[in-house]
Amino acid sequence: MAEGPARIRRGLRLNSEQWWMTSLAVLLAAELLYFSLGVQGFWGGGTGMLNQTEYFLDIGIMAIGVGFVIFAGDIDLSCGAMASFVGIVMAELWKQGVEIWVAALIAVLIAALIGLIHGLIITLFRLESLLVTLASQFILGSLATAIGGGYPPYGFPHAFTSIAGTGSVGPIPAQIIIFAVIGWFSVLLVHRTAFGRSLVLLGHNRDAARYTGVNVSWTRVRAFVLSGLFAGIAGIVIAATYNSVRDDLGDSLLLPAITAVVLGGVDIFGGRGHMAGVLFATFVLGFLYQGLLIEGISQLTANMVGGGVLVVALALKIGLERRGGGLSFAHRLRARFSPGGVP
Amino acid sequence: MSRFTRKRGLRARAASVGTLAMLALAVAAAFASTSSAHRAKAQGKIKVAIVPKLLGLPVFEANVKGANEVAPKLGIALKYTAPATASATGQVSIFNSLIAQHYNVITLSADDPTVPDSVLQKAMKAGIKVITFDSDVNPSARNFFIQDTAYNTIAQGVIQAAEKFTGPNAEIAIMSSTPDATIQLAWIKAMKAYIKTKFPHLKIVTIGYGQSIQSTSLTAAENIIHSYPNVKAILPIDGAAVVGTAQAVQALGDTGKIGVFGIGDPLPNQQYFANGSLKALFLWNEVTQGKLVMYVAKLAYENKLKAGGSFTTPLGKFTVAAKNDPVTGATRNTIIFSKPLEFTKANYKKFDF
Repeated sequence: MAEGPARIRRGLRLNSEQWWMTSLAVLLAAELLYFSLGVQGFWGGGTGMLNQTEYFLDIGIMAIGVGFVIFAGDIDLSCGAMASFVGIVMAELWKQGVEIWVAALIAVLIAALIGLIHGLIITLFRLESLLVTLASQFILGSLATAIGGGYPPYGFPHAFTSIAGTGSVGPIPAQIIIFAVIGWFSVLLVHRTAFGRSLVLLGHNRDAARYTGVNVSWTRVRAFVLSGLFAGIAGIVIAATYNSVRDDLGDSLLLPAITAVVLGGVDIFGGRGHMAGVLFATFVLGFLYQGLLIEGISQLTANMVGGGVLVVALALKIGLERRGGGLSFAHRLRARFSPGGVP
Repeated sequence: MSRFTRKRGLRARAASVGTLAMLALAVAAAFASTSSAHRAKAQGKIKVAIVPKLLGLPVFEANVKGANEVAPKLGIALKYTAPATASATGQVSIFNSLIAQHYNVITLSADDPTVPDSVLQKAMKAGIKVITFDSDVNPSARNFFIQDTAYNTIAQGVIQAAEKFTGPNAEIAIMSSTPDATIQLAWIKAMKAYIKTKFPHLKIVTIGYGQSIQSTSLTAAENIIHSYPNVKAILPIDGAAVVGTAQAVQALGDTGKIGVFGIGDPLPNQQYFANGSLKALFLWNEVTQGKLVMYVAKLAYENKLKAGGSFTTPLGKFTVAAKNDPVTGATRNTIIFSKPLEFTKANYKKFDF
């Protein structure tokens, strides 16, 4: 085995990974400093700033879920519709008399089950995850509309909306606690377990993973289950935060979630990155957006700034990786969609 | 492998310590500065925001135009902001930012009747007056609602105009958006009630649905014309249905034979007024409505409005409904804006919405 060179390559990659995380942390700190000092109403005695997180942590939860799938070199485009669907299912069950927490649990389990089905279809029939989840997105969206109708139920019990949505423990919003728990769990899962290591390895080189004895299909399936599960949790949090559901409430989260994964330093082709980067990126993007809005900048401009940050960040990252000896982006793009599959 | 992990652990710890230090610095610096920055009010002006469903729709641009015309006279510092697409959660982010900026009054046309409720209640708790116009939220999530027009008066306008064209003994049809659209259902109910009392020999033979899509509306309208050859007038009561119906009448060569009388804004339909396929449209004056929104914002800020009361502005006298009224559609604390305006071939060019 060519252990020597592999070790060196890994060492280099680690450096760039760490470099990336530190940059994100600095960016976040600079951003918070700028908005707190320069924008009236952002800081709000600290609690004001913390409360802004209620408007973007749902994106972070979804980002973690889709992150698992991206680590493995796949993609899940159904997350947004899944979150909308889960909210509708929960609300309808609740309206039928099911206790709200039980309804939420059932809805989230259904999401995990749909994730399982995604994974099985993709691995058993050797279909492109992009296409399967794209199709599923439309199915789930239509199901949500069909089940929820024009006026889905709203006005959930207070205990539910405060614990899963807008409540707080002292100055800490409940959502931050949920996000911290989920984030910690997922960082451990990706970087401290056999499953996580197999996931990253098969994203990096699927054949190598297979030869080392990793059950490639089953690992990919598990990533899709996690993606469904986390999209489901995001759906519940959205429902609790807005105290209502809508057949398209989660849809607008999908692209910001993928953005957070990529800005977090996870390679869009899989196999590289750190889950903690995704958590950082969620705060970087979320505070940037909320801060710009509070500064009085229009949503259009805020969206453009977010896009700009992503492009600049990726350009920097790809430049850095190429200097570290990685393959070119175009080469990997071709390899990714070549008939032979992932290199 | 284990050495490698430990090393990474150490490095990560070093990085996170650095981050924490930086965050602490940020927080401390922010603490020092906010106390002085906090008390910089908008020079004694009333800070009002107008948040339509989305940016760039002509009817809302017309609202904003009217609002901008009167805001300076009322001592209002007006901000126009809205989501780029008609997104309910996008609107919530905006309301949240307006609360943080200590606005005095938020006026809005809601993308969804329930999604913004909790953030608007938060705004009201913070002492901000919330006024909805055009599209309402739950009455508990706003102080006042400015309803475009009473259901019964706009229904009467459309039916009277159509009857003048068809005569009292005729078959007519309605083109709506979807079978469960609230406002459209209310309008249809009001039209039926008016026909029953005033023109009992006018017969509504069918109601077509265009799903608020122009091409679907066109097909649905063509189907009506083919299936009911005696129909003398079609009444489209949704923006896309107006265009689709006028196109159908023109395409099948029935201009002049079948009259189209609808509810909608004139700007997107100029060509159908010009070629005669569209006889009349009814709507309120969006520019004037924007002005009323500002008058109400100022009065609400000064706590001068109450349920069951009335107030006078340069636009006329208005009342604030005290309870639900199924005939007009008003709920508690609703202000009905105006009688509908009629747009015809003679006047459509004067309006830019």
